[in-house]
Amino acid sequence: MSSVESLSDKMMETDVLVVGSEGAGSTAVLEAIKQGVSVTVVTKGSNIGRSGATVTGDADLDVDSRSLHERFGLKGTDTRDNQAVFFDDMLKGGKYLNNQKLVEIHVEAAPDRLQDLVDWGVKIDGLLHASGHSYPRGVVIPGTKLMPVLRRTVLSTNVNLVPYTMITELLTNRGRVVGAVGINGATGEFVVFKAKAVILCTGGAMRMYPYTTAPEELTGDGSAMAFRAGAELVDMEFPMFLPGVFPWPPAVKGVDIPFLLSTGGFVAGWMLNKNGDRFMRHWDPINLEWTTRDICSVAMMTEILADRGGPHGGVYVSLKHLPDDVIDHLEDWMPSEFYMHYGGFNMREYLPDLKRESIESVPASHFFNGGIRINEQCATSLPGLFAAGEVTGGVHGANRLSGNAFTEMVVWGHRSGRFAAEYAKQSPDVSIDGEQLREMRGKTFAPLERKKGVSQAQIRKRMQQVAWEKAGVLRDGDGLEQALAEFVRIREEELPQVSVRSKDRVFNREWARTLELENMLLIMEMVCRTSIKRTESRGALYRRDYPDTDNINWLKNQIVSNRDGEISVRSEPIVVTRAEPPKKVLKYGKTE
Amino acid sequence: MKMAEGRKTANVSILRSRPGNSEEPKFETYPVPIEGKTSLLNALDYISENLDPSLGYYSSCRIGKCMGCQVVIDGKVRFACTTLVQGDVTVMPLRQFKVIKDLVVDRRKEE
Repeated sequence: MSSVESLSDKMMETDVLVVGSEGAGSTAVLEAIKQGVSVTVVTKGSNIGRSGATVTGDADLDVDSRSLHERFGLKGTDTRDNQAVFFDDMLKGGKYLNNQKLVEIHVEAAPDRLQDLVDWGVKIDGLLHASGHSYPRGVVIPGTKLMPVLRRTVLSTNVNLVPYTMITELLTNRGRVVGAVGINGATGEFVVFKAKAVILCTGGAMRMYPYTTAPEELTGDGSAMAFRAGAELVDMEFPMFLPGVFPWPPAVKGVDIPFLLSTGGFVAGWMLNKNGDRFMRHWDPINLEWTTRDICSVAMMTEILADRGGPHGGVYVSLKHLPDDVIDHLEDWMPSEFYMHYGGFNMREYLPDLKRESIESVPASHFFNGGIRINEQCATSLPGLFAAGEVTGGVHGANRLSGNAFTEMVVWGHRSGRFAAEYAKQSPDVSIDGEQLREMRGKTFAPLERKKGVSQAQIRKRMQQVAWEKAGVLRDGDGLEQALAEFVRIREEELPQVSVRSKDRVFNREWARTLELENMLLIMEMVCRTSIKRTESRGALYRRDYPDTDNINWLKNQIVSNRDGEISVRSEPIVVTRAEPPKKVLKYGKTE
Repeated sequence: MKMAEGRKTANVSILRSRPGNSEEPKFETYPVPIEGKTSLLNALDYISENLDPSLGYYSSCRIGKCMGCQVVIDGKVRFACTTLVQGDVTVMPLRQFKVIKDLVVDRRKEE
């Protein structure tokens, strides 16, 4: 038996360990502290609000319009809406794969959680009516305004914040989670966190793809470590894409311009292939570029993979059909954050003269609908492990509605904090398995200690390219099998050869990137295995060889579990409380 | 003109330091090939991947929202991700925080 002390550079004890500091993590921390337990929050970022997807959200937070009218007095609401209509919209959006028990809680708790934010000092900027919603529900709260409020609120508590730290594995003992280990980049220490309950709020895995709107941390760490520890995952075949980011120039690769490059925008440019064909006519001759985001992404990717795109790998988006004075006046009526400014970019530096030239556009990975399987208390299948936010699956089913990521993070972040704290209070003291700790330490340090080997950067790029071409927007059985074989080969043959060149333990980017690569490969393997089995198209999964939505055979969730280290996939009937989907085969993109 | 016509390399000078080691902070200069409009953050990625894997810097959203990549560029506080490399450039860590390594600073104290 190895000594736990000798294997850890630093040991920290806490009742509840929250992994991830942003929308879900911060609200989990605040609720757990309210329950009177000690809480430690670990983030890859330099502080709260300096990493993760929340701060990048443009973004709306969905609450049913009636509650917004009655409780918040917002302008522009429509009182015909109620929580039952919101529930139905979520199921239609999710193509009926959502766990309806979770959806009921989601729509019911949303107003209370918005109230929390307002009480903490968050200001509401307006109300949107986004597509997929029957009524206006999108409470506008940009992530850049939300996160400073959450940072101040969380840091005013007695929480122990551990920044610049990547959690690499969950510790288990006698069938339950008893903490986690990770690398603190600020100190170079291998830190052991001993905890009675752990909440994963680590976000999605969308950095698996070369074009993404996701920040750098979203590498599937939470889902991957949960799987390795033995927790179940669900709906892993549903990474989601949106049309409309720049492939070029490099400064703005992955940046979306909602006004022009996305169908949810204010002006849909014409999308053309290199032959000048306005190809949306083959997919949706009525709505053309104004069709839904999934169909638009599929159409774009079809052109790109058939080599009918532009020199930078995208399709062309053109405004040239508009008279000059219309283009001149776009700026006058469009919100500036959607036009010449995006994030920190002044788009004038990057856009050509739109009266004369087109821009290139590619679809991009945006959100992971699936993830760790949770119940109504945010508990996973592994005792002591809880999860909230994008890292989980079940709330959104096969596709997420606009604005529902923010609702998910606050509703489920809050619940995870409450139920993890309750669990921790009832837990006996935990002990760490020294032998397991020794193995984890060895595995974490192996790429650092390997003197010679291959570079993670090249492997990462190749993995992303295969994911993009064969396991992304457009999938089919043959391509998925090829991608799977390649991912397995990389995992078995190349990953054990990766060597980190700098041996400095402090803020070693390449070391962290290597550990992330293993996680992304594992998640990609799950995407492939679940997509191969699902012989239909639904929501965020489009299969060229099975283009219809098959409600006769596929009203099922696929559950991923760990069988002796290998990925095992089984299917279960969907969880229904009140909405029975139509039992027939439907054209892709339709729900009835 | 720092970047003469036809020349597609920018010299990126970075103040390197590793508190805890005995060495004093010093500037190191890296030649970075420039193709198309590119950001300082992309240049740092290039250096890290191809020239010097020991370089420490932090980045997250890459779209000017998280503020995590703030550094001092030619004397001004800017985001590395939204600042174009238009010629030779000098990069230093933020002044008000303790340096952890190179451009990485301890930001726990910020509001």
